[in-house]
Amino acid sequence: MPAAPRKLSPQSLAVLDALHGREWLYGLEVSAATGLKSGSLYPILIRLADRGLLESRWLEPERPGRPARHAYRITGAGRSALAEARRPSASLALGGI
Amino acid sequence: MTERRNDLAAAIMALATRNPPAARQEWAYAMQAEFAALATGRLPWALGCLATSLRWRAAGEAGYAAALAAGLVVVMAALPLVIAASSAFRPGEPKVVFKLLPMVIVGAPLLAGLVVGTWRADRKLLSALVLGMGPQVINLVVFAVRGSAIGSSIADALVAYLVIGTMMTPMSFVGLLTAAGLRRLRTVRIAR
Repeated sequence: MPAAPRKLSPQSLAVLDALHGREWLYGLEVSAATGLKSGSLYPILIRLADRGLLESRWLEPERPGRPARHAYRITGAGRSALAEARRPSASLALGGI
Repeated sequence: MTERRNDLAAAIMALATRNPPAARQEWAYAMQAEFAALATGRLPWALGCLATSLRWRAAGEAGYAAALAAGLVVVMAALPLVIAASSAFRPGEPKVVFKLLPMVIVGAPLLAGLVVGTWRADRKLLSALVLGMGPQVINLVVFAVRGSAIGSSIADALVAYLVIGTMMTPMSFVGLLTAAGLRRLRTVRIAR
């Protein structure tokens, strides 16, 4: 029997929610949208990326002389996980990653 | 004041992104790039990144520490058992093996320190802690076994702790420092 997928924490869902329906977002933008500080945000981004719920890429800097920035976008699997978590029956079972 | 806070934030950020685990290198660069784009709130951001990187390191160090401690305890705990077994099988003969004991006490921790210092020189503090504590753990195990079998006196325990404290632990540190010195020499030679 395949293992049940691990449930997403409210913070992870907030990150997916912030990325949902948008194009690439930088870490600072995700932080501003969710209110998560860097110490919480990056472990969540890493876990979500490891689980294939978001993808990342380096984007060229808007201003010359600045380093390239890492940006994030929700994947199809991420959208499904978010939809699943938003279902009324799933909201009662929210645990944490 | 703001400039000093920015300097502090930059120093903390540099510390957070210094030598990350290979699997997390891209994420360390990502945190650094966002930091470079920040105009305000640099210090809290840097502190959060430092906390994240410490968690990465702690996860890596835990497995390493467990493996190192287990290896050290097994290898060094075996030595007194070998000595006890050989003397038991030759009760009438002079206990030649006990003549080797000082060599073992000095040589084993020194060798262990050298090996660990060469093999995992990037983790000096942890290696030193584990090597320093290894003999204490072995001593406790040996005395627990010996005490339950034939009984042991407080004098025995004191002598053992004296030997460990004055010889074995310092020798493991000497081994570590020697390995570090040899590495430094090799680096200087390559640079030339």
